[in-house]
Order: sequence, then C-alpha cells, then structure tokens
Amino acid sequence: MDAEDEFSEYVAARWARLVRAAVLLGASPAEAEDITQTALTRCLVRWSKVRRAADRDAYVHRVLVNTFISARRRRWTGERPTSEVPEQASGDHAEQVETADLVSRSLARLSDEQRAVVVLRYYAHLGEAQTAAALGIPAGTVKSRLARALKVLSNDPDLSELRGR
Amino acid sequence: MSEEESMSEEKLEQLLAQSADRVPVGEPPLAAMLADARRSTRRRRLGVALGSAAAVVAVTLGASVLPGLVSGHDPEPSVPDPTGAASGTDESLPGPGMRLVGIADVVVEVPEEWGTNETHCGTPMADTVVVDEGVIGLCAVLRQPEVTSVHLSAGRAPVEFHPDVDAEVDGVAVRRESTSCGDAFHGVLTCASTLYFPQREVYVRAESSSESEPEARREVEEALARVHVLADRVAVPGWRSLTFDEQGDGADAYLALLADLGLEAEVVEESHPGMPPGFVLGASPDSGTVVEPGSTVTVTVVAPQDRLAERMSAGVSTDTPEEPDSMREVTDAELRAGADLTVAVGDTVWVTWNVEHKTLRVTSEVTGEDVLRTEEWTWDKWTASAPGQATITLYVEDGTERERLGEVRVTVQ
Repeated sequence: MDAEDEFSEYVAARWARLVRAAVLLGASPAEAEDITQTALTRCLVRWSKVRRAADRDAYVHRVLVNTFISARRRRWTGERPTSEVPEQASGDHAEQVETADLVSRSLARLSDEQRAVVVLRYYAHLGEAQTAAALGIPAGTVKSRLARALKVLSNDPDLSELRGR
Repeated sequence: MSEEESMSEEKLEQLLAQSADRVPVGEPPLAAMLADARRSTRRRRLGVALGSAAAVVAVTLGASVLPGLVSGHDPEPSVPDPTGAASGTDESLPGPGMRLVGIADVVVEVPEEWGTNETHCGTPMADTVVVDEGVIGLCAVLRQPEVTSVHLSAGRAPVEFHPDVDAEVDGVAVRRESTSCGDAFHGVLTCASTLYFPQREVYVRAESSSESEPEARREVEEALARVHVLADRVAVPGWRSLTFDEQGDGADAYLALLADLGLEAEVVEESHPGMPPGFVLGASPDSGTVVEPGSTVTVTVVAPQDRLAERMSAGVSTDTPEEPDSMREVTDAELRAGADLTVAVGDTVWVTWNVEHKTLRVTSEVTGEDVLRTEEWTWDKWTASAPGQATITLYVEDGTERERLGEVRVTVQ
C-alpha cells in the first residue's frame, strides 16, 4: 500500500476524533477542521516519518497540538471572532447540550498545559508514555499535570451535579 | 466532599466523549490534503541544498532589490538562479546602530536596541528578532500593539505558505508572500509578509502591529528591505530548534552543521542526569550571531554517563489534596545531595521520574511505614498518616543491578 492510500485510510478512521480533540483543546468547530486539515497535510508530507514513528497516534497528535498552538498565535490573520455562536440545540437534546456546555466551561478553567494532557489522555485515549511523547514532556509531568487537572475539575461546581448522575 | 463525589477518570472520559460527540464534523477534505501535500513535496524537490562552501561567485549587482519587484503571478515556483550565490557587498554591513542576525548566509539587519527572542508563548512582546526560538510553551498571548518583529526559521515550506511574488535579494531568487493585514483581536492591527529562500530553505517573516495600517505596512517593508545574503560570513547555526530526533545519539548533527558552514567547534561537557549524553545545551557565540568563516564556536553538551544512577532523573512531589496549588517538588539535584521535606498529616507524597528509557526504572524504599502509608495499588505514592520521620531512598534499576540515586528525609508534622 503506498503512502497516499495508507494516509487516506488513516484519515477515514481518525478525522472526526481529531477534529473533536481540537475542539476540546479550545478551537471553534470551523477552526478545528482547518487545524486538523493542516496537521494531517503536514503529516502526509512526512508520511515516511509518520510510518516509522514508534507510535503513529502520538506523532499525529503532536503535530495536531503544534498546529493548534501556531494557529492560535496567528489567528489575527484570519477571521474576526464572532460573539454569537450559532445554537443548534432544541428540545430532546437540551440536557445533552447543557452537559457539553458545562464540560467546555470547565475545561476552560484548566491551564492550557493541563487541558492538553486531559484531552490527549481521556479523549484521544493516548497512554501516559504516548501523551508524554505527543507533548514533548516527561511522563512524570503528565502524571502530575493530570493529578492537578483532576483536582481542579473535582472542585468545579459546574460539574458537581453531573458527577452524581 | 465524600469519595464518591470526586471526579473519576471514567466519568471524565464519559463527559469528554459526550461533549465532543455534539460537535458536528464534516467529511475530511481528503482531495485538498493530497493536493497540498503533493504541491509542497514538489516545491521541496526543486530546492538545491546549500553547499558547504556556499559556492561563492561574486557578481556584484548592487544592493538588495526587493519590494515591489514583481515578475507576474506565477503559481508554480521558478528556479531562476542555479548557483544560489550571493552578490552582496558585505563590508558595509551592519550599518551604524544596527546588528546582524541570521541563518547560514541569510541575515537581517536590525536596530541594536532590538531584543533577541523577546517572546512569550511565541508572541513577540517588544521589538525583537526571533531566531532559533526552540520549544514554545503551550499557551497563547495576544499580539501587543506597536511591536515589530522579524522571525527567521529554517526548514521546508509549510503547507500554509502561499507565495505570490518572485523577487531577488542580493542576486538570490526568493519567493514572497506579499504583505497582508488583519485587524484581529482587540483592535491590534497587524501586518505581515514572508520571504522564502528555496535553495537554502530559510524563511524570513516580518510582522508589525500599529494603530495605522500604512504605518504597519511600512515597518514590514522596511524590515524585509534589510534582509541580505552574505558572501563571506555565516551565522552560528541553531541548536534550540534541533529536535530530539535530529540530535540523535549526540551532538553529531549540530557539529556537522558547524562543519558545513566552515566553523570550528570546541566541545565542553556538563553533567545532567537523565538527559541523553551528547545533547546540545548551548553554543557560544549563540545561534544567529554572524561570524567569520573558521571562527570557533564553544558547544556545551551533556557529559557521558558511566554510572547507572546518572542515566535517570527523578523527583519527589508533595501536595495537600484539598489545595490544587500546594504542590512542591524536590528536584533531582536536591535528591542527590540529600534533601529534607516537611509535610502535614494527610498530604500525599509521590515519586516522579523521566521514563524516556525503556530498560531503566526508578524504584524506592521507605523506612518509617507507620509515618508514610503506601496508597492502595501504588508503590511510589504515599499518604502522610502520622507525625514522625521517614526516609525515601530512590534507586535506578536496569533489571540486573541497581544503584542509589538519592534520598529525601520526610518529617510529618
């Protein structure tokens, strides 16, 4: 299988999860698709490296996190921020929507470093060593950041009612 | 707060998945990604690597010819100058009150009072030149008003670089993305333009924020007009921006970069447990500094590690569970010297270590188990359970032997 086929398969399997991981990191949904597209294109350009990487998912998430950071740094070149976020929720989904809003509000309370560790570990399901590789930090640091992040979230009044359910 | 109420890992996983599932995701733009990647790969192949001696053929055509030199809109990169040799007149550089900063033979003249790498989270905080910036913290800071910056970086064209102009700097062909401005966040208008030297794979990007767009545009044009290609001097190569991969098993990659530029290296070793031996820690003169060929650069690297205990680094952390900000850490150096730590009953104490090594691990032994109680199903984490004294001794093990790394004497109050 050549690089492009392999890449296409990888994208088909991971696209939605990568976009959503970028949203949990703090990007808007539209921005998240752009970031994921740029990150994956960068990976394809160096696919031979991705292929050789001991851990493909860790490598791709590392590129995703780096792309997210640089996109945020140069966001001024792109669109203006809008104050109104289109609200698509209605009726049956109300409770689900509320949960999602509470979760994103709570994530925003974490430092960027804690947030990235939480998203990679508990949403992208990377292992401790993979998360460490993806963020370029020692695994001990992953542990201590997670411990602190869990504490912040445990003390978060927004999430306290969700915990009971 | 009772035990059942605290945030469990499973509950968090569930909440994140629920929250993420609400985000509508379109189809992946596969065709666009494939096309962009092909375009980027082709652009790279056209580049000719900068030879070691830089093939100096001086054809003096005068100073830089940059802004406004448009040879039509050409979506495909052209390769006008096969030699890639500079024709600049070097001796006049830098001008009075200016200094030179560069990558290989591509340099920019900046005012002496400008800083170097005065950034926070990658965002320039004052007028600065940015070169060999290295690891950028995972954080974001908004652009400050009235700041002009010039960023030099080496590497292949990123997929988001969209050149629209062919130009020349000191007789060397460059691709340029013209100045564009955005009025962005909180009214900080910022203009930027990028120059790319395809044969050298070097970028120079100028950014300026100002209250008026003409002012910001002028700053960007002026900054890029001060970009030159030197014929007979070179800049000390970057070491911060070398990745772990590129550093390989030692400083070889960096020493090869120095040799390619005709610079001599003097290697100085420093002991750093847990870091890969040979890893480059610094260069003097620092990266970006313009020097004569044949100059000596002092390179500081991590010393070889003969002892097992030198090959890992560890730490001991403590905090009070109810106070997320109470974490303290005993560092590796403190452990090796023998450290003291005072904690309160109820605090947690745990061992952290650098797990880059697959074959090595850090283990611990505790005296005073009535004082520090091991937490259930862990072996490197304790709860201070009663006032008294305990000692945690850390070892490095490789399966056959173990060696003492250091210890911390814990007083529980």
